[in-house]
Amino acid sequence: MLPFRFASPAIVNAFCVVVCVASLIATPTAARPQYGGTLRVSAHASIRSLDPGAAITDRSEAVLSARMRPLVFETLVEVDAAGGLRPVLAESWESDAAGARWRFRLRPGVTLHDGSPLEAWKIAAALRTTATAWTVSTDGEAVVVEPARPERDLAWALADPRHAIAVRRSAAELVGSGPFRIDRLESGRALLKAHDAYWAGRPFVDSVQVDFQRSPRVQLADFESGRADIVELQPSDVRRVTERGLRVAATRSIDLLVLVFESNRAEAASEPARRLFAGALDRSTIASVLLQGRAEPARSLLPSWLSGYSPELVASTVPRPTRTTVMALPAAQRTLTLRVDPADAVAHSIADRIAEDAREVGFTVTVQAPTGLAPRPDVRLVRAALASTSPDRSLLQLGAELGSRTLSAATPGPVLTAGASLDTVVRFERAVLGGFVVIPVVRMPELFGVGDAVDISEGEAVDPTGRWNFANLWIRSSTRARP
Amino acid sequence: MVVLSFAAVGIHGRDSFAPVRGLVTIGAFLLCSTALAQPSSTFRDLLPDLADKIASTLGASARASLAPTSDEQSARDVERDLATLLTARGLRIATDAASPSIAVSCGENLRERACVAEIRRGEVRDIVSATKALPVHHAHDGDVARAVAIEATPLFAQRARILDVLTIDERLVVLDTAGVAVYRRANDEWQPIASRAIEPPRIWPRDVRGRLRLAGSALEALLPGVVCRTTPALTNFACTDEREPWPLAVENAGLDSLRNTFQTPEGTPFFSAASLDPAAGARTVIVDLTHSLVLMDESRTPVATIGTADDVASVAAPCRSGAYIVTSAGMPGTSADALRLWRLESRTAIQAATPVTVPGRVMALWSTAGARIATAIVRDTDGDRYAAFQIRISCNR
Amino acid sequence: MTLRTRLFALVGAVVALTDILVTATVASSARRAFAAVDDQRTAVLVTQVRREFVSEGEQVAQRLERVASSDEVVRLAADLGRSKTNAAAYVGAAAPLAASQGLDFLDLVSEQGTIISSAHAPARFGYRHPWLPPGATSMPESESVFLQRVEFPNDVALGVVATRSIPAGDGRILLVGGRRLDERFLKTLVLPAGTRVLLYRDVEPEITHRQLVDASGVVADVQPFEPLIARVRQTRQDARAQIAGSSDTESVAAVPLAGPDGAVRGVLLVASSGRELASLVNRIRWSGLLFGALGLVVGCGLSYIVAARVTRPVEELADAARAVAAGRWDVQVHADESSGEVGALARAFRTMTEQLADQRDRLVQAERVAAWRELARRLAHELKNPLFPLRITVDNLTRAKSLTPAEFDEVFEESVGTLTTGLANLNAVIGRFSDFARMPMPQIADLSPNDVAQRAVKLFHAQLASGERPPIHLTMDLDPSVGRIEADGEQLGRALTNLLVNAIDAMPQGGELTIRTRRANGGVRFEVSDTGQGLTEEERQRLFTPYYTTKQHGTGLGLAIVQSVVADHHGRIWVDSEPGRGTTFHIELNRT
Repeated sequence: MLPFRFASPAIVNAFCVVVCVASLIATPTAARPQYGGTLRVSAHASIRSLDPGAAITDRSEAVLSARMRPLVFETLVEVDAAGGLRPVLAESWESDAAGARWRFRLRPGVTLHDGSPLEAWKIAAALRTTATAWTVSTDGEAVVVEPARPERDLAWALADPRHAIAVRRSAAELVGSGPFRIDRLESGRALLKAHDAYWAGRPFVDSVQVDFQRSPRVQLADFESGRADIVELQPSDVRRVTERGLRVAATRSIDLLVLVFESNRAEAASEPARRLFAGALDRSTIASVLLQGRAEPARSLLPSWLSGYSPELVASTVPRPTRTTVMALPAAQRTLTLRVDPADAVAHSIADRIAEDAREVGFTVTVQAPTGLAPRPDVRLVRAALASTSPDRSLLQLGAELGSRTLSAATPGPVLTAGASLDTVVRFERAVLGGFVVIPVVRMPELFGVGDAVDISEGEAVDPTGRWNFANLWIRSSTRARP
Repeated sequence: MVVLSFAAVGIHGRDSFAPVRGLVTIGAFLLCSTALAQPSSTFRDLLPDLADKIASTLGASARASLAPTSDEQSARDVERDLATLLTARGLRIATDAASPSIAVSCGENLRERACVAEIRRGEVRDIVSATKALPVHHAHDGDVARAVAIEATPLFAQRARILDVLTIDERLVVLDTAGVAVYRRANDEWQPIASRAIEPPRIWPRDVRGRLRLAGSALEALLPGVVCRTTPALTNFACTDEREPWPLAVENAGLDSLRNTFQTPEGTPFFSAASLDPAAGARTVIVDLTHSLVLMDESRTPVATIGTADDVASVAAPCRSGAYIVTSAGMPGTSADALRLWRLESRTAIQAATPVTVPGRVMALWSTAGARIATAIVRDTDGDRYAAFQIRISCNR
Repeated sequence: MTLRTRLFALVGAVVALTDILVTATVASSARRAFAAVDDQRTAVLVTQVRREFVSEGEQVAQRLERVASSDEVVRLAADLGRSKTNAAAYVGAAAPLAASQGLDFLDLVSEQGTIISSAHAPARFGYRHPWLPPGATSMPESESVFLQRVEFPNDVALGVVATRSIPAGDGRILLVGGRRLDERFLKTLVLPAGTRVLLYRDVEPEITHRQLVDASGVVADVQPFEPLIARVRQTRQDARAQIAGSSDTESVAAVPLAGPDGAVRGVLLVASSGRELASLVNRIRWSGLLFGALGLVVGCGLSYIVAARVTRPVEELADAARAVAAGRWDVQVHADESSGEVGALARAFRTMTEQLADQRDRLVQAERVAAWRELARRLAHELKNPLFPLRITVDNLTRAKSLTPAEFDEVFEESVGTLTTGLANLNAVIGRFSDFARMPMPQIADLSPNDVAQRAVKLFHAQLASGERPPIHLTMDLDPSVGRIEADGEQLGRALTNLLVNAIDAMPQGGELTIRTRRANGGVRFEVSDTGQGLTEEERQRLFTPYYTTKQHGTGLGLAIVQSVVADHHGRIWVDSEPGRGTTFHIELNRT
């Protein structure tokens, strides 16, 4: 209790200050965590493998895999909510000035899921599988990584779940060190069991059950009826959920929705049409109304908190065009087919609104959400995630998601590589956005509903980077009896 | 994030761009830190390097113009500092549109602090930047995140209704319904050194509200329909019947003499307001007449409702960035209020600390300049006293 | 044509005519009656459809009223009106409200005409409502039901729209919602068989097939309806037309559906199929045909029966008459047992035939007596002549007894000569009578009538060419197509010869002699013509009586022989003659 610096004892006696060491999302009533129970999680995607080395082409599968993998396979380091690096399997690390040689001292006493100790050679073997461009060796109880080219951000790269340490016991069996181990991985469900010998302490829950391919509507119904503890929420669900007194966890705005013109509409001659199309977008209404204020307008690919600079530096502000201006375009340029992923209801509603905004100023836009073969579209609304913590890597990953051809077509100028300076990042992003082949629309967080039976001892159930902090979740005993 | 340049927020949040085309202009962007209230000194260390690069690009004795578009104090500070540095390097700062224009944006990402300048000479645009890596903190084992808590430090108490308190150096200025008093800290207690009454006595509204503001060397006491001006020593104390905008996060026309609510220029009434860090996804938050916490964007358009409260004030966490607000609201079943700390992220409010129960009703909750701390005025109904508390965010040690 | 055939034809004609008249009359009446019923039914249907349409509008209004009074809308209006809460929170409010009340579209519109939420066009929030009049700053206050063109994301439809204004603080919120007017509405109509209702929705400037629907969906062929629809759109009044489709002609009544500004927003088309009428008329026709055929069959049977009852006795009578004519006087007629006129006729015929037979017998007897008398007379005459000289001669001989022997010898020689000649004549006369009595039955053989004629003529070539008498020109007109017949060539030849002789004898001053053969009545006809003095009527009557002759010489048996030959061949012989112009004998024989 902090001392009062005021003379009146009445105030002192009456004053009650509860200093909370850990931040809670739960009710103001603090409670001691309880062990046991199964945490039930729903996801719309499904995954086939948690192998860090597995190539995943489906975006939703990749996102879900990035969430789940750290529960089983840990990295040497990870990015915390504040954006800094946190030691995980590596206790500390150092590098030379250029970043050409990195040495990671391993945390002692880590036990793998099969009971064997985690040793340096196992980590080195795992890294050699996932990072073929690096030379990985051991040095006692340390792992030495020498990238092909000096990388000052190598430690950040090792925080990528793709470089999680998965020890291969056999061709098909991987063993991890995370708070949970894989008990079953089927097409519709994954069951993770608590790792009793986890180095940071056994998780509170006995198991985590992740149900795949649950549509947003089903997830919401399950959440409201108490059949699921953690679900994915759409922006339009948040108000309803909060009105019912349920909790919402949000990441940073790491999901970017961006319009990408196909190569046949990306030539310089069509630039005036693309510019006017960009000007027709009403981003703030999309963000504030359609996405219920859970998104923010995006005029740049990178948010300011990730880039460090303002969007105005890289994106031109285009005024809303008049019908006269648009109608002066050739008819073929005024007519567009906008394709959107039919499984992404939020993107679909955004696409409808974009089409409506464009029609208001004279464009003829058809929204296409095909489930089979369909004519080639003129422009696509694509969802891309910011998975890195540095602007250069984030742009590179965005490029990979949007299609390297698109970015290279849009940027005949500067070339971006990992580790590029901020100048280069600015120039590259400006070049990407300059021709209006790539038009950011909105940025939105990933939203999760957290059931009222769930509590957390430390941190948040989902941290701002999207990491699932399930090891610190516990379930109140009154709701423990569940399948 | 503050931008000094072409960006101008239009109606309904749609950006409108007023380009300066056909001219050899260079727009100047000043990137401020992600924490809205961070002072320009946060980036002052980057400005010399940036100025060197700008001068190197433009050449000595070149003319250039800085075109700020933001009214943020921090942005103006950066512009002023950069202009000084550029002048020292031989550049002449012009105001005409024909000169090359420099747009500077200062900010912070997860790894570094940066100031980026775009130098525009006609169609040629150069980019220069100055960056400094943020200290990479390796959290200790077991740490998940720096925990925060509300720290409420009692300042002062009296029987008369306290409207606001202000600490100036080692002195405490107290505004109540009768007048203004100044105290000095001595022997672990506050000793009065001066006081002035508000003459002639006014009939205040039932829920009277008051605010102290230090404007340079002048001290103002804002009351419903009355403004009293004096100095920190309470010299030349004079009160006039007038309305002035109160130092709130939202533009307002002051408090009507018979009311306890403010109004935005659009006519939206509110009880309380606080400014927000850009991480919140909104510019300000107000408590409207239904006691809803309403987020508003730069154009004062409501964008989200995040809960209910009686009062709101913004605070900053010394250990982490982000948008934090403190709200006061009643505790069900009790006559006491509680202070709650929220972190706003993308227009979502997350409770960031255990609520703090105060010994009574919170009668006022004010943000202070810089938003590091807030001031809470509590009425102890049992003891029939009023107490002032300093509210800040405490980080774990 | 026999009586039976004529009777059958008459009955059949009457039946057919009656059937045709009845069928046509029934068909015509049916058509008129059907048209009248169709008009009534169409009118009833139009009234029903109008009522259903009004009912639909009332339902829409009720549903919208339920939406307006729902908790969600009340709360929404209170929130928006009280604190000017960001309307963005309600951008998704319209869809579940519309779904809960089965509305196809629903807009929540602010007082300024801005869409707060749209169930059917969710992306249009924030935009002015399309029905907000240009330049207006607020939506009209009216609460009504009307037709309007509604834009959906993928199509444009006609909607039954209701509006409802609800207070929201100091202002109000307008609910604009309704249901599509399409084939779903048409499916709710209960229509009699053969009728259908189509709906034309005036949602595009041009009339296209997509705008015309019936209960099963879009109508493929709108072209037949275009003129009627265009007329209704222009006049804004009901109209009717007969519209021929690919398989049917329909009677179509068109009813305009007006929007709030009076413009036609849709046209209801009530079509009655003409197939039923056509089917009915067709059935009537077929029934007519069937009954006509039946009638004909019945008529045939009836006529057959009647005819049989009538004609058989008549035919029997006719046969009997023919038999009688053919000489069979003993023919029996069974029809005399019938009743009625036919029976009376038959009995009369029987009586007649009996009398005829009796008379014939008498006649025959009389003729026989007459013939005997004639024969006796003729014989007496024929014998008298040759006997007179014989008597004289004998008288002379008696007297000559007193003469000298020389004188007696002379007288004896003369008398012997005279007695010999006279006995020869008597012999000839007796021979001829004997020949006539002894004529044999014909020996039938297949022969050519032309050959027979030629052989008969040949006998007279020499006589005609001798020049001893005035010339007689012979013409042979033999039809080569007469074919062959079955007859006794010799007897036939004799008959022709006798006729030729008579013909030559009838032209003592010369003339034209013609012999012809012709096909006639399935057989063959011989004609022998002369240009002699002709015959009187009396002569013609008695021509074939044996021993009747107009010649000074002759036994009068020639034509009797001819007649006998013709009778033996079952043929027919008659004569045409005119005094002064000549005579033609006709012999008609059958082929067998």
